Amino acid sequence: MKPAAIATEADFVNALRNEERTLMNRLYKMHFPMVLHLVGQNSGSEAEAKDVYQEAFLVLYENLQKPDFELSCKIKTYLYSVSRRLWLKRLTRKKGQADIQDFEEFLPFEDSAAAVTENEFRFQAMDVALGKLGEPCRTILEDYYLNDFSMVQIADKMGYTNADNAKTQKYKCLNRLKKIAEGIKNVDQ
Amino acid sequence: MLTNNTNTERIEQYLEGKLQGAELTSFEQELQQNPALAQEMAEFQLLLTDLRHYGQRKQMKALLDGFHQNLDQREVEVGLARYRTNFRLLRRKYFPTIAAAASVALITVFGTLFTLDYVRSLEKTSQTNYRSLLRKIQLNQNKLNNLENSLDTAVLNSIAINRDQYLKGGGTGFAVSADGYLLTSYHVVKKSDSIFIESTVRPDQRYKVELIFGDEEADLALLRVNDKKFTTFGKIPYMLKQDLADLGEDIFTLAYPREDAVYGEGSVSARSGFEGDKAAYQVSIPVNPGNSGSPVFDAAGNVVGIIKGKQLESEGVAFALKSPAMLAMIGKLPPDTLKVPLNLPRTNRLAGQKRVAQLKKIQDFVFQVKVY
Repeated sequence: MKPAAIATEADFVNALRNEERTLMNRLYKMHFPMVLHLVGQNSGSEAEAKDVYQEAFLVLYENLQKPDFELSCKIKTYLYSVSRRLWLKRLTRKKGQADIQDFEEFLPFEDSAAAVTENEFRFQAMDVALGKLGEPCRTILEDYYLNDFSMVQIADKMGYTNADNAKTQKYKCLNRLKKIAEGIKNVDQ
Repeated sequence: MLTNNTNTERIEQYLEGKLQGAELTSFEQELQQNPALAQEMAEFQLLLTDLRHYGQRKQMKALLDGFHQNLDQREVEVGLARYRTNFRLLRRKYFPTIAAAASVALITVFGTLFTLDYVRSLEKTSQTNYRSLLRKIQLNQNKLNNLENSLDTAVLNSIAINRDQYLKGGGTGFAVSADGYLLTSYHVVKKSDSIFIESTVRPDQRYKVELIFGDEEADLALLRVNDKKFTTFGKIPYMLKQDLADLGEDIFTLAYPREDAVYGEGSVSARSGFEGDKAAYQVSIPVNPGNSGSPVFDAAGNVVGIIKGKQLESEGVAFALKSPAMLAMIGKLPPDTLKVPLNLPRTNRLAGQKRVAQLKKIQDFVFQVKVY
Protein backbone atom coordinates (compact mmCIF):
# COMPACT_ATOMS: atom_id res chain seq x y z
CA MET A 1 0.00 0.00 0.00
CA LYS A 2 1.06 3.54 -0.63
CA PRO A 3 1.85 5.74 2.36
CA ALA A 4 -0.05 8.93 3.14
CA ALA A 5 -1.84 9.82 -0.04
CA ILE A 6 -2.51 13.46 0.53
CA ALA A 7 0.25 15.79 -0.47
CA THR A 8 0.23 19.05 1.44
CA GLU A 9 1.92 22.30 0.52
CA ALA A 10 4.76 21.35 2.83
CA ASP A 11 5.13 17.99 1.07
CA PHE A 12 5.47 19.70 -2.28
CA VAL A 13 7.98 22.20 -0.92
CA ASN A 14 10.04 19.34 0.47
CA ALA A 15 9.74 17.44 -2.77
CA LEU A 16 11.17 20.43 -4.64
CA ARG A 17 13.94 20.81 -2.08
CA ASN A 18 14.92 17.16 -2.27
CA GLU A 19 14.09 16.61 -5.92
CA GLU A 20 11.48 13.92 -5.33
CA ARG A 21 10.37 13.38 -8.84
CA THR A 22 7.02 11.71 -8.35
CA LEU A 23 5.65 14.56 -6.29
CA MET A 24 7.31 17.14 -8.50
CA ASN A 25 5.60 15.60 -11.47
CA ARG A 26 2.29 15.83 -9.67
CA LEU A 27 2.88 19.47 -8.84
CA TYR A 28 3.87 20.18 -12.42
CA LYS A 29 0.69 18.61 -13.67
CA MET A 30 -1.41 20.44 -11.15
CA HIS A 31 -0.66 24.00 -12.14
CA PHE A 32 0.13 23.82 -15.83
CA PRO A 33 -3.49 24.49 -16.87
CA MET A 34 -3.40 27.71 -14.85
CA VAL A 35 -0.40 29.06 -16.75
CA LEU A 36 -1.70 27.71 -20.03
CA HIS A 37 -4.83 29.71 -19.37
CA LEU A 38 -2.91 32.80 -18.31
CA VAL A 39 -0.75 32.82 -21.43
CA GLY A 40 -3.59 31.69 -23.69
CA GLN A 41 -5.87 34.46 -22.46
CA ASN A 42 -3.19 37.00 -23.10
CA SER A 43 -2.39 36.24 -26.72
CA GLY A 44 0.21 33.53 -26.22
CA SER A 45 0.55 30.04 -27.66
CA GLU A 46 0.70 26.71 -25.88
CA ALA A 47 4.43 26.45 -26.58
CA GLU A 48 4.96 29.85 -25.00
CA ALA A 49 2.88 28.79 -22.01
CA LYS A 50 5.11 25.75 -21.61
CA ASP A 51 8.26 27.91 -21.70
CA VAL A 52 6.90 30.37 -19.20
CA TYR A 53 5.62 27.67 -16.88
CA GLN A 54 8.85 25.70 -16.95
CA GLU A 55 10.83 28.84 -16.23
CA ALA A 56 8.57 29.69 -13.31
CA PHE A 57 8.89 26.14 -12.03
CA LEU A 58 12.68 26.41 -12.30
CA VAL A 59 12.70 29.72 -10.45
CA LEU A 60 10.73 28.15 -7.63
CA TYR A 61 12.95 25.08 -7.61
CA GLU A 62 16.17 27.09 -7.61
CA ASN A 63 14.94 29.43 -4.91
CA LEU A 64 13.99 26.50 -2.73
CA GLN A 65 17.54 25.19 -3.00
CA LYS A 66 18.68 28.29 -1.14
CA PRO A 67 18.60 27.62 2.60
CA ASP A 68 17.53 31.17 3.42
CA PHE A 69 14.62 31.24 0.99
CA GLU A 70 11.20 31.06 2.54
CA LEU A 71 8.08 30.67 0.48
CA SER A 72 5.72 33.28 1.84
CA CYS A 73 2.68 32.30 -0.20
CA LYS A 74 1.02 29.26 -1.72
CA ILE A 75 3.01 27.43 -4.39
CA LYS A 76 0.20 28.14 -6.80
CA THR A 77 0.35 31.86 -6.11
CA TYR A 78 4.11 31.84 -6.51
CA LEU A 79 4.02 30.01 -9.83
CA TYR A 80 1.29 32.30 -11.05
CA SER A 81 3.17 35.42 -9.98
CA VAL A 82 6.44 34.40 -11.62
CA SER A 83 4.69 33.22 -14.80
CA ARG A 84 2.76 36.43 -14.92
CA ARG A 85 5.91 38.49 -14.52
CA LEU A 86 7.72 36.51 -17.22
CA TRP A 87 4.85 36.70 -19.66
CA LEU A 88 4.39 40.42 -19.05
CA LYS A 89 8.04 40.89 -19.87
CA ARG A 90 7.82 38.89 -23.08
CA LEU A 91 4.66 40.66 -24.15
CA THR A 92 6.24 44.03 -23.55
CA ARG A 93 9.18 42.97 -25.67
CA LYS A 94 6.88 41.80 -28.46
CA LYS A 95 4.38 44.63 -28.48
CA GLY A 96 6.03 47.55 -26.79
CA GLN A 97 3.45 47.63 -24.06
CA ALA A 98 1.34 45.03 -22.39
CA ASP A 99 -1.41 44.47 -19.93
CA ILE A 100 -2.39 41.16 -18.42
CA GLN A 101 -5.84 39.93 -17.50
CA ASP A 102 -5.51 38.36 -14.09
CA PHE A 103 -7.63 35.68 -12.54
CA GLU A 104 -5.53 34.67 -9.55
CA GLU A 105 -3.95 36.44 -6.66
CA PHE A 106 -0.33 37.31 -7.24
CA LEU A 107 2.74 38.87 -5.70
CA PRO A 108 3.73 41.98 -7.63
CA PHE A 109 7.53 41.20 -7.68
CA GLU A 110 8.28 44.83 -8.49
CA ASP A 111 11.79 44.96 -7.08
CA SER A 112 12.84 41.37 -7.71
CA ALA A 113 11.74 41.40 -11.34
CA ALA A 114 15.36 41.23 -12.48
CA ALA A 115 16.10 38.30 -10.18
CA VAL A 116 13.30 36.32 -11.78
CA THR A 117 15.02 36.28 -15.16
CA GLU A 118 18.63 36.44 -13.98
CA ASN A 119 19.15 32.70 -13.78
CA GLU A 120 17.83 32.07 -17.25
CA PHE A 121 20.15 34.78 -18.51
CA ARG A 122 23.12 33.07 -16.82
CA PHE A 123 22.03 29.78 -18.33
CA GLN A 124 21.71 31.18 -21.84
CA ALA A 125 25.08 32.94 -21.57
CA MET A 126 26.77 29.70 -20.56
CA ASP A 127 24.98 27.80 -23.27
CA VAL A 128 26.25 30.23 -25.89
CA ALA A 129 29.74 30.17 -24.41
CA LEU A 130 29.88 26.37 -24.44
CA GLY A 131 28.61 26.40 -27.99
CA LYS A 132 31.39 28.73 -29.06
CA LEU A 133 33.94 26.72 -27.12
CA GLY A 134 33.22 23.71 -29.30
CA GLU A 135 34.53 20.16 -29.07
CA PRO A 136 36.35 18.43 -27.52
CA CYS A 137 36.48 21.14 -24.85
CA ARG A 138 32.77 21.17 -24.17
CA THR A 139 32.59 17.44 -23.55
CA ILE A 140 35.69 17.43 -21.38
CA LEU A 141 34.39 20.23 -19.16
CA GLU A 142 30.87 18.84 -18.96
CA ASP A 143 32.15 15.36 -18.15
CA TYR A 144 34.45 16.60 -15.43
CA TYR A 145 32.43 19.36 -13.82
CA LEU A 146 28.87 18.27 -14.47
CA ASN A 147 28.96 14.50 -14.84
CA ASP A 148 31.68 13.85 -12.24
CA PHE A 149 33.88 11.74 -14.51
CA SER A 150 37.48 11.22 -13.34
CA MET A 151 40.34 12.48 -15.48
CA VAL A 152 41.31 8.86 -16.21
CA GLN A 153 37.83 8.15 -17.58
CA ILE A 154 37.92 11.31 -19.65
CA ALA A 155 41.37 10.52 -21.05
CA ASP A 156 40.08 7.10 -21.99
CA LYS A 157 36.90 8.38 -23.59
CA MET A 158 38.49 11.23 -25.51
CA GLY A 159 41.56 9.25 -26.62
CA TYR A 160 44.30 10.99 -24.63
CA THR A 161 47.38 8.95 -23.84
CA ASN A 162 47.12 9.62 -20.12
CA ALA A 163 45.16 11.54 -17.49
CA ASP A 164 47.81 14.26 -17.25
CA ASN A 165 47.48 15.14 -20.91
CA ALA A 166 43.72 15.27 -20.53
CA LYS A 167 44.13 17.47 -17.48
CA THR A 168 46.34 19.95 -19.31
CA GLN A 169 43.75 20.06 -22.06
CA LYS A 170 41.00 20.59 -19.49
CA TYR A 171 42.73 23.66 -18.02
CA LYS A 172 43.27 25.07 -21.49
CA CYS A 173 39.58 24.59 -22.17
CA LEU A 174 38.60 26.18 -18.90
CA ASN A 175 40.67 29.27 -19.58
CA ARG A 176 39.22 29.57 -23.05
CA LEU A 177 35.72 29.23 -21.68
CA LYS A 178 36.43 31.96 -19.18
CA LYS A 179 37.53 34.34 -21.93
CA ILE A 180 34.49 33.54 -24.06
CA ALA A 181 32.10 33.91 -21.14
CA GLU A 182 33.60 37.28 -20.19
CA GLY A 183 33.23 38.38 -23.79
CA ILE A 184 29.56 37.43 -23.84
CA LYS A 185 28.82 39.17 -20.57
CA ASN A 186 30.55 42.34 -21.73
CA VAL A 187 28.62 42.40 -24.97
CA ASP A 188 25.34 42.03 -23.14
CA GLN A 189 26.01 44.66 -20.55
CA MET B 1 49.36 30.55 -21.51
CA LEU B 2 51.38 27.94 -19.68
CA THR B 3 51.61 30.09 -16.56
CA ASN B 4 47.92 30.68 -16.81
CA ASN B 5 47.24 26.94 -16.93
CA THR B 6 49.53 26.32 -13.99
CA ASN B 7 47.75 28.98 -11.99
CA THR B 8 44.36 27.55 -12.83
CA GLU B 9 45.56 24.11 -11.84
CA ARG B 10 46.91 25.35 -8.51
CA ILE B 11 43.74 27.29 -7.82
CA GLU B 12 41.62 24.26 -8.51
CA GLN B 13 43.80 21.98 -6.40
CA TYR B 14 43.65 24.51 -3.59
CA LEU B 15 39.88 24.75 -3.80
CA GLU B 16 39.55 20.99 -3.90
CA GLY B 17 41.75 20.76 -0.81
CA LYS B 18 44.51 18.88 -2.64
CA LEU B 19 47.35 21.28 -1.88
CA GLN B 20 49.31 20.21 1.17
CA GLY B 21 52.31 21.10 3.30
CA ALA B 22 54.77 23.57 1.85
CA GLU B 23 52.78 23.92 -1.38
CA LEU B 24 49.70 24.96 0.57
CA THR B 25 51.59 27.45 2.73
CA SER B 26 53.28 29.06 -0.21
CA PHE B 27 50.03 29.26 -2.16
CA GLU B 28 48.19 30.91 0.69
CA GLN B 29 51.04 33.34 1.14
CA GLU B 30 51.01 34.18 -2.53
CA LEU B 31 47.26 34.64 -2.41
CA GLN B 32 47.67 37.32 0.24
CA GLN B 33 50.50 39.11 -1.48
CA ASN B 34 49.32 38.89 -5.05
CA PRO B 35 45.93 40.51 -5.67
CA ALA B 36 45.99 39.31 -9.28
CA LEU B 37 46.02 35.70 -8.12
CA ALA B 38 43.20 36.35 -5.66
CA GLN B 39 41.23 37.98 -8.46
CA GLU B 40 41.92 35.02 -10.72
CA MET B 41 40.66 32.66 -8.05
CA ALA B 42 37.47 34.64 -7.61
CA GLU B 43 36.88 34.56 -11.35
CA PHE B 44 37.58 30.85 -11.44
CA GLN B 45 35.03 30.24 -8.70
CA LEU B 46 32.47 32.35 -10.49
CA LEU B 47 33.01 30.45 -13.71
CA LEU B 48 32.60 27.12 -11.96
CA THR B 49 29.45 28.29 -10.21
CA ASP B 50 28.03 29.37 -13.55
CA LEU B 51 29.05 26.10 -15.14
CA ARG B 52 27.49 24.01 -12.37
CA HIS B 53 24.37 26.15 -12.41
CA TYR B 54 24.20 25.55 -16.14
CA GLY B 55 24.48 21.82 -15.60
CA GLN B 56 21.80 21.72 -12.94
CA ARG B 57 19.44 23.86 -14.92
CA LYS B 58 19.94 21.77 -18.01
CA GLN B 59 19.21 18.61 -16.08
CA MET B 60 16.16 20.20 -14.49
CA LYS B 61 14.90 21.39 -17.85
CA ALA B 62 15.17 17.87 -19.18
CA LEU B 63 13.22 16.63 -16.17
CA LEU B 64 10.51 19.23 -16.70
CA ASP B 65 10.33 18.34 -20.38
CA GLY B 66 9.77 14.77 -19.26
CA PHE B 67 6.95 15.92 -16.96
CA HIS B 68 5.49 17.86 -19.82
CA GLN B 69 5.47 14.82 -22.05
CA ASN B 70 3.72 12.91 -19.30
CA LEU B 71 0.86 15.39 -19.27
CA ASP B 72 -2.46 13.86 -20.06
CA GLN B 73 -4.03 16.11 -22.68
CA ARG B 74 -7.50 15.36 -21.40
CA GLU B 75 -6.57 16.25 -17.83
CA VAL B 76 -5.05 19.50 -19.04
CA GLU B 77 -8.23 20.35 -20.86
CA VAL B 78 -10.38 19.58 -17.87
CA GLY B 79 -8.08 21.77 -15.77
CA LEU B 80 -8.25 24.50 -18.36
CA ALA B 81 -12.03 24.33 -18.53
CA ARG B 82 -12.06 25.05 -14.83
CA TYR B 83 -10.35 28.36 -15.45
CA ARG B 84 -12.36 29.13 -18.53
CA THR B 85 -15.68 28.57 -16.84
CA ASN B 86 -14.63 30.72 -13.94
CA PHE B 87 -17.48 33.18 -13.68
CA ARG B 88 -15.38 36.10 -12.56
CA LEU B 89 -13.29 35.76 -15.64
CA LEU B 90 -16.24 35.42 -17.95
CA ARG B 91 -17.68 38.56 -16.53
CA ARG B 92 -14.50 40.39 -17.27
CA LYS B 93 -13.98 38.91 -20.70
CA TYR B 94 -17.46 38.95 -22.17
CA PHE B 95 -20.37 41.29 -21.96
CA PRO B 96 -22.32 40.81 -18.75
CA THR B 97 -25.36 39.53 -20.58
CA ILE B 98 -23.40 36.88 -22.39
CA ALA B 99 -21.71 35.91 -19.16
CA ALA B 100 -25.05 35.46 -17.50
CA ALA B 101 -26.27 33.39 -20.44
CA ALA B 102 -23.10 31.31 -20.28
CA SER B 103 -23.61 30.39 -16.66
CA VAL B 104 -27.20 29.45 -17.33
CA ALA B 105 -26.00 27.34 -20.22
CA LEU B 106 -23.42 25.62 -18.06
CA ILE B 107 -25.97 24.73 -15.46
CA THR B 108 -28.26 23.47 -18.18
CA VAL B 109 -25.50 21.35 -19.72
CA PHE B 110 -24.63 19.75 -16.44
CA GLY B 111 -28.24 19.60 -15.45
CA THR B 112 -29.20 17.78 -18.61
CA LEU B 113 -26.45 15.27 -18.32
CA PHE B 114 -27.25 14.86 -14.67
CA THR B 115 -30.81 14.05 -15.59
CA LEU B 116 -29.78 11.75 -18.42
CA ASP B 117 -27.69 9.67 -16.13
CA TYR B 118 -30.32 9.75 -13.46
CA VAL B 119 -32.76 8.30 -15.96
CA ARG B 120 -30.35 5.54 -16.74
CA SER B 121 -30.07 4.69 -13.08
CA LEU B 122 -33.81 4.41 -12.68
CA GLU B 123 -33.99 0.94 -14.15
CA LYS B 124 -36.75 -0.34 -11.97
CA THR B 125 -38.88 2.74 -11.59
CA SER B 126 -42.23 3.12 -13.21
CA GLN B 127 -42.89 4.05 -16.79
CA THR B 128 -44.70 7.31 -15.96
CA ASN B 129 -41.81 8.54 -13.92
CA TYR B 130 -39.48 7.70 -16.77
CA ARG B 131 -41.54 9.59 -19.31
CA SER B 132 -41.90 12.71 -17.29
CA LEU B 133 -38.20 12.83 -16.88
CA LEU B 134 -37.68 12.32 -20.55
CA ARG B 135 -39.86 15.32 -21.26
CA LYS B 136 -37.74 17.35 -18.99
CA ILE B 137 -34.70 16.35 -20.88
CA GLN B 138 -36.23 17.38 -24.17
CA LEU B 139 -37.19 20.69 -22.70
CA ASN B 140 -33.73 21.23 -21.37
CA GLN B 141 -32.25 20.12 -24.64
CA ASN B 142 -34.29 22.70 -26.51
CA LYS B 143 -33.31 25.40 -24.11
CA LEU B 144 -29.75 24.36 -24.50
CA ASN B 145 -29.88 24.39 -28.28
CA ASN B 146 -31.30 27.88 -28.30
CA LEU B 147 -28.69 29.10 -25.94
CA GLU B 148 -25.96 27.40 -27.83
CA ASN B 149 -26.82 29.34 -30.94
CA SER B 150 -26.83 32.65 -29.18
CA LEU B 151 -23.60 32.07 -27.34
CA ASP B 152 -20.02 32.49 -28.18
CA THR B 153 -19.48 28.84 -29.06
CA ALA B 154 -15.96 28.98 -27.72
CA VAL B 155 -17.37 29.17 -24.23
CA LEU B 156 -19.23 25.94 -24.67
CA ASN B 157 -16.51 24.16 -26.57
CA SER B 158 -14.11 24.86 -23.79
CA ILE B 159 -15.93 22.55 -21.47
CA ALA B 160 -14.57 19.08 -21.73
CA ILE B 161 -17.63 16.92 -21.85
CA ASN B 162 -17.14 13.25 -21.64
CA ARG B 163 -20.33 11.35 -21.22
CA ASP B 164 -18.54 8.16 -20.30
CA GLN B 165 -17.08 9.62 -17.20
CA TYR B 166 -20.03 9.02 -14.95
CA LEU B 167 -19.79 7.64 -11.49
CA LYS B 168 -20.15 3.90 -11.25
CA GLY B 169 -20.28 2.22 -7.87
CA GLY B 170 -17.86 3.16 -5.16
CA GLY B 171 -17.76 6.47 -3.44
CA THR B 172 -16.66 8.20 -0.32
CA GLY B 173 -17.96 8.07 3.21
CA PHE B 174 -17.04 9.74 6.46
CA ALA B 175 -17.31 8.78 10.11
CA VAL B 176 -19.93 10.49 12.24
CA SER B 177 -19.39 8.62 15.47
CA ALA B 178 -16.38 7.05 17.11
CA ASP B 179 -18.12 3.70 17.44
CA GLY B 180 -18.59 3.01 13.77
CA TYR B 181 -21.31 5.06 12.11
CA LEU B 182 -20.62 6.65 8.73
CA LEU B 183 -22.54 8.68 6.22
CA THR B 184 -22.40 8.37 2.46
CA SER B 185 -24.67 8.95 -0.52
CA TYR B 186 -27.51 6.47 -0.79
CA HIS B 187 -26.97 5.88 -4.50
CA VAL B 188 -23.45 4.68 -3.76
CA VAL B 189 -24.65 1.77 -1.66
CA LYS B 190 -28.15 1.26 -3.01
CA LYS B 191 -27.50 -1.80 -5.12
CA SER B 192 -24.92 -3.44 -2.87
CA ASP B 193 -24.38 -7.03 -1.89
CA SER B 194 -21.66 -6.09 0.49
CA ILE B 195 -19.96 -2.84 1.38
CA PHE B 196 -16.44 -2.21 2.54
CA ILE B 197 -14.65 0.95 3.60
CA GLU B 198 -10.97 1.49 3.03
CA SER B 199 -8.49 4.20 3.84
CA THR B 200 -5.31 4.80 1.91
CA VAL B 201 -4.07 6.93 4.78
CA ARG B 202 -4.43 4.05 7.21
CA PRO B 203 -4.23 0.87 5.15
CA ASP B 204 -4.94 -1.22 8.26
CA GLN B 205 -8.44 0.21 8.31
CA ARG B 206 -10.42 -1.92 5.91
CA TYR B 207 -13.74 -2.87 7.36
CA LYS B 208 -16.95 -4.50 6.32
CA VAL B 209 -19.88 -2.19 6.88
CA GLU B 210 -23.63 -2.61 6.74
CA LEU B 211 -26.33 -0.31 5.50
CA ILE B 212 -28.37 0.81 8.49
CA PHE B 213 -30.70 3.21 6.81
CA GLY B 214 -31.01 4.84 3.44
CA ASP B 215 -33.04 7.82 2.32
CA GLU B 216 -33.48 7.76 -1.42
CA GLU B 217 -35.02 11.19 -1.71
CA ALA B 218 -32.28 12.97 0.19
CA ASP B 219 -29.72 10.56 -1.25
CA LEU B 220 -28.20 9.89 2.12
CA ALA B 221 -27.25 6.59 3.74
CA LEU B 222 -26.19 5.70 7.25
CA LEU B 223 -23.64 2.88 7.48
CA ARG B 224 -22.16 1.12 10.44
CA VAL B 225 -18.98 -0.92 10.67
CA ASN B 226 -19.76 -4.57 11.16
CA ASP B 227 -16.34 -6.10 11.53
CA LYS B 228 -14.69 -8.01 14.35
CA LYS B 229 -11.39 -6.19 13.85
CA PHE B 230 -13.00 -2.83 14.47
CA THR B 231 -12.73 -1.14 17.82
CA THR B 232 -13.14 2.60 17.28
CA PHE B 233 -12.50 5.36 14.77
CA GLY B 234 -11.19 7.56 17.56
CA LYS B 235 -12.55 10.93 18.50
CA ILE B 236 -14.13 12.67 15.51
CA PRO B 237 -12.51 16.10 15.06
CA TYR B 238 -15.43 17.72 13.23
CA MET B 239 -19.14 18.11 13.86
CA LEU B 240 -22.18 18.43 11.62
CA LYS B 241 -23.16 22.06 11.37
CA GLN B 242 -26.72 22.77 12.46
CA ASP B 243 -26.99 26.08 10.61
CA LEU B 244 -26.86 26.75 6.91
CA ALA B 245 -23.67 27.76 5.19
CA ASP B 246 -23.58 31.23 3.65
CA LEU B 247 -23.48 32.00 -0.01
CA GLY B 248 -19.88 32.42 -1.12
CA GLU B 249 -18.45 30.68 1.92
CA ASP B 250 -15.16 28.89 1.38
CA ILE B 251 -15.58 25.15 1.55
CA PHE B 252 -13.44 22.13 0.90
CA THR B 253 -13.78 18.40 0.57
CA LEU B 254 -11.76 15.24 0.81
CA ALA B 255 -12.79 12.35 -1.38
CA TYR B 256 -11.75 9.16 -3.08
CA PRO B 257 -12.37 9.65 -6.79
CA ARG B 258 -9.53 7.15 -7.24
CA GLU B 259 -7.45 4.91 -4.99
CA ASP B 260 -6.13 8.00 -3.31
CA ALA B 261 -7.63 10.73 -1.17
CA VAL B 262 -8.11 13.92 -3.18
CA TYR B 263 -8.58 17.37 -1.77
CA GLY B 264 -10.83 19.89 -3.47
CA GLU B 265 -11.83 23.42 -2.59
CA GLY B 266 -14.40 25.91 -3.71
CA SER B 267 -17.30 27.89 -2.41
CA VAL B 268 -21.03 27.73 -1.89
CA SER B 269 -22.35 29.05 -5.19
CA ALA B 270 -26.08 28.76 -4.57
CA ARG B 271 -28.44 28.07 -1.69
CA SER B 272 -30.35 25.54 -3.71
CA GLY B 273 -29.31 22.45 -5.57
CA PHE B 274 -30.25 20.78 -8.81
CA GLU B 275 -33.54 22.13 -10.15
CA GLY B 276 -34.11 24.26 -7.10
CA ASP B 277 -33.61 21.44 -4.60
CA LYS B 278 -33.92 23.29 -1.27
CA ALA B 279 -32.16 20.54 0.67
CA ALA B 280 -28.94 21.00 -1.28
CA TYR B 281 -26.35 23.63 -2.14
CA GLN B 282 -24.73 24.22 -5.44
CA VAL B 283 -21.02 24.17 -4.81
CA SER B 284 -18.04 25.03 -6.98
CA ILE B 285 -15.89 22.11 -5.93
CA PRO B 286 -14.30 20.06 -8.68
CA VAL B 287 -16.00 16.68 -8.43
CA ASN B 288 -15.01 13.42 -9.98
CA PRO B 289 -16.67 10.04 -10.08
CA GLY B 290 -16.18 8.72 -6.56
CA ASN B 291 -16.81 12.07 -4.92
CA SER B 292 -20.34 11.03 -4.02
CA GLY B 293 -20.70 10.90 -0.28
CA SER B 294 -17.66 13.00 0.47
CA PRO B 295 -18.00 15.49 3.30
CA VAL B 296 -18.01 19.21 2.56
CA PHE B 297 -16.36 21.30 5.26
CA ASP B 298 -16.44 25.00 5.95
CA ALA B 299 -13.27 26.93 6.79
CA ALA B 300 -13.65 26.08 10.48
CA GLY B 301 -13.83 22.37 9.72
CA ASN B 302 -17.55 21.86 10.32
CA VAL B 303 -19.35 19.47 8.01
CA VAL B 304 -21.79 21.66 6.07
CA GLY B 305 -22.80 19.13 3.45
CA ILE B 306 -22.21 15.91 1.60
CA ILE B 307 -21.57 15.70 -2.13
CA LYS B 308 -24.53 13.94 -3.72
CA GLY B 309 -25.74 12.76 -7.07
CA LYS B 310 -23.80 11.83 -10.11
CA GLN B 311 -21.72 14.37 -11.86
CA LEU B 312 -19.63 14.79 -14.91
CA GLU B 313 -15.95 14.72 -14.44
CA SER B 314 -15.80 18.38 -15.40
CA GLU B 315 -15.67 20.97 -12.70
CA GLY B 316 -17.84 23.94 -11.98
CA VAL B 317 -21.20 22.76 -10.78
CA ALA B 318 -21.71 20.17 -8.08
CA PHE B 319 -24.41 19.64 -5.51
CA ALA B 320 -24.18 18.88 -1.84
CA LEU B 321 -26.90 17.89 0.59
CA LYS B 322 -27.06 20.43 3.41
CA SER B 323 -25.99 19.41 6.90
CA PRO B 324 -29.32 20.38 8.54
CA ALA B 325 -30.99 17.97 6.11
CA MET B 326 -28.54 15.27 7.19
CA LEU B 327 -29.28 15.94 10.85
CA ALA B 328 -32.99 15.87 10.08
CA MET B 329 -32.71 12.40 8.53
CA ILE B 330 -30.75 11.11 11.49
CA GLY B 331 -33.29 12.66 13.86
CA LYS B 332 -36.20 11.01 12.08
CA LEU B 333 -34.75 7.49 12.04
CA PRO B 334 -37.33 4.82 12.87
CA PRO B 335 -36.86 3.91 16.57
CA ASP B 336 -35.60 0.35 16.05
CA THR B 337 -33.02 1.10 13.36
CA LEU B 338 -30.14 1.74 15.70
CA LYS B 339 -28.94 -1.18 17.77
CA VAL B 340 -26.16 0.98 19.13
CA PRO B 341 -26.98 4.62 19.93
CA LEU B 342 -25.59 7.11 17.46
CA ASN B 343 -23.63 9.74 19.33
CA LEU B 344 -22.84 12.52 16.91
CA PRO B 345 -19.68 14.50 17.64
CA ARG B 346 -20.46 17.58 19.69
CA THR B 347 -17.19 19.46 19.44
CA ASN B 348 -15.12 20.81 16.61
CA ARG B 349 -11.39 20.51 17.12
CA LEU B 350 -10.40 22.01 13.78
CA ALA B 351 -11.49 25.64 14.08
CA GLY B 352 -8.78 28.21 13.59
CA GLN B 353 -6.28 25.70 12.26
CA LYS B 354 -4.55 25.87 8.93
CA ARG B 355 -6.06 23.80 6.15
CA VAL B 356 -3.09 21.44 6.07
CA ALA B 357 -3.43 20.70 9.75
CA GLN B 358 -7.17 20.24 9.40
CA LEU B 359 -6.72 17.77 6.57
CA LYS B 360 -4.20 15.78 8.54
CA LYS B 361 -6.85 15.21 11.20
CA ILE B 362 -9.75 14.76 8.82
CA GLN B 363 -8.06 12.23 6.56
CA ASP B 364 -8.29 9.50 9.19
CA PHE B 365 -12.07 9.73 9.18
CA VAL B 366 -12.78 9.80 5.47
CA PHE B 367 -12.99 6.47 3.68
CA GLN B 368 -13.34 5.00 0.30
CA VAL B 369 -16.64 3.11 0.09
CA LYS B 370 -16.39 0.02 -2.05
CA VAL B 371 -19.52 -1.71 -3.14
CA TYR B 372 -19.55 -5.30 -4.32
